[in-house]
Amino acid sequence: MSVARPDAPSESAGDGLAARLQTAVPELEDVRILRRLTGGSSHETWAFDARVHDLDHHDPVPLILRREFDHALFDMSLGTEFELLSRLHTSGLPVPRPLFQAGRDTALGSPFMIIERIAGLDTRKVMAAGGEADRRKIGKSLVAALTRLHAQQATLIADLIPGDGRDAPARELAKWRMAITDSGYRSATLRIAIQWLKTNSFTVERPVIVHGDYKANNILLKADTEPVIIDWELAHIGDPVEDLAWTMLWTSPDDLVEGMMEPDEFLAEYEQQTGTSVNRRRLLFWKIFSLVKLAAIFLKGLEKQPSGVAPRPTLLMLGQAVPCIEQAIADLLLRELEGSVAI
Amino acid sequence: MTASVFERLAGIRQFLGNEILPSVADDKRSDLRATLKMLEDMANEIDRLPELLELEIPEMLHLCNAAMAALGWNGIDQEDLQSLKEFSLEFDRPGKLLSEMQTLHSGICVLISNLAIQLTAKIVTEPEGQKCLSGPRVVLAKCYRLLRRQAEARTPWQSVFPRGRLYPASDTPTRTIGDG
Repeated sequence: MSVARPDAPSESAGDGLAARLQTAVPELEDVRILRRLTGGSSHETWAFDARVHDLDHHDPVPLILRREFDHALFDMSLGTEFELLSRLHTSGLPVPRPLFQAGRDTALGSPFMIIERIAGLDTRKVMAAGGEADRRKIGKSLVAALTRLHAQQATLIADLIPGDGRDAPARELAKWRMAITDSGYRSATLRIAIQWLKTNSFTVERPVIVHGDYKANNILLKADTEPVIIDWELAHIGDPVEDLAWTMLWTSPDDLVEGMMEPDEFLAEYEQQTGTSVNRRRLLFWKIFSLVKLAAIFLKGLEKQPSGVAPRPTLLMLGQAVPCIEQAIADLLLRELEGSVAI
Repeated sequence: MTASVFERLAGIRQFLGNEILPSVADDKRSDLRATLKMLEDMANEIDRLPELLELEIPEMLHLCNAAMAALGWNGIDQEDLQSLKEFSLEFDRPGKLLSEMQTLHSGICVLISNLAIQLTAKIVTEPEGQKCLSGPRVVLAKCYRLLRRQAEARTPWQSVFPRGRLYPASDTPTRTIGDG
C-alpha cells in the first residue's frame, strides 16, 4: 500500500547513490540512477540500470532499488519480502525476480533489496491510456494471476509469516484496529464496524497466500499483456475471499472491477477459474474489513512522526476521505441488518 | 471592507497554483497539488460545517434517547446516561466555538457507538419469532442511517474518491426498517 513516509531520508536525483550502491553490491557495474519512484510506507524506491556480473548477458539491465527505513508502519520487513518474492518467483508465479538483499551494514546504511524492473506499465495506466486494450481479456488474465496465487500451497511461506492463516480474520482485524485506536480518531462507524467484525469472525478452513493489496495499479502489464504482481508488503496467509473483497473496493473506470468486468462477473470468473464458490457472507465480512483497513491506512498516514515532522499534504488529503469510507460501512451494516429481516 | 476568509483562501490558492507550482521540483509537485485541493476543500468545509453540526447534534441526542428507551432505561450504563445529560446541557450552552461543537459531536459519536453495540447484542438474543421490526432493530437501523447520512454530508469536501466509488452497489437506496 503506497503511503509515503514524510521523514524518509532522500538523496536528490540520486547524487552519490550510484557510487554507494556499487560499493554495497560489488556485482553491479556502471550503475546509472534514473529516477526516484513513489515510495511505500516504509521504503524509498529508485529505478536504475546497471550491468550485473552474475547474469549471463553483459548489457545493462533495468533494476529497482528499494531501501527500508527504521520503522515500518504496517509492512513486513524488506528481508522477509525478498525471501517471499524469491520463493514465489521460483514457484513460477508472475512476480519480479529478486536479485540482491542486504541489511544496514553496507555503504547504503539501510536495509535494501534489488529486483528486476519490469518493462511495462501498471494496469490502471494502460487502461487509462485507452487504445486497443481488450479490457475483458486483460481482466480475465488478472483473475487468472490471482487464481494461481491462491492455488499455491501456503506452506511455501509459512515460516516467513506469523500464524497459520486459520485465525486470519481475527489477526488481521487486530492489526488494523490497533492503527485506528492509535490514531485517536473517534468514529462511531469504525467502532461499530470493528465490533461487528469481532462478532462475525470465523476460522479459515483452507488458508492460502493472500496478496493483501491486489488492485490494478499493483499489477504491471508486460508488452504481451501478461500480468506481473508487485507490492507484496501486505501479503500474509489467510482467506482468499479477503483478496476478492479488496479488489472489489477499487472501482474506477480503469480498475479490474467496474473497469474490466462488473462485480458479479468478477466473482463468477474467479469461481469458474478456481472451481470454488465464494461464500457471500464471508465476502460481506471482508468488504467491511477492507473499509476498516483502508481507514486505518489513511489514519496512520495522519500521525506525526517521532521526529515531530507533520504528515505531508498528500497524506492529509487522504485522511480527509475517511467519511467516504464511513458512509460505505454504514451502508453495508444497514443492508446486513435489513437483509436479516423477512418482510 | 476586508477580504473574506474565502477570498483570502482563493487568493492563496491562485498564488500557489499560478506562481509556485510551475517552478516546484517534480518530487514536491504532488504535495503542492494536494495542498491546493485541500485549501479548496477546507473553504467548503468551513462554509458548511457550523450549520451541519447545529442540525446533526440534536438529531444525535434524540437518537441516543431512543436507543436508551429501546434498551430499557433500567439497564442503561450510568456513565452513558450521565454523558447524555452533559452533552444535552453543553448543546444548550450558547456561544460555542466551532471547535467546541466538533468536540461535542465527537463525544456523542462515542456514545452512539456504545449504544449501537448494545443494541446489536440485544438483537442477537431476540427469539427467532420476534426478529422483525423490534424496537432495538428499528433504532439500530436509524443509527446506521444517521451515520451514513452524516458521513455522506462530509464527502463534498474531500478530493480522493469521486462519489459512489466505494462498493458502488451501496448507492442503491435501501428501504424498510428505521426509515424516516
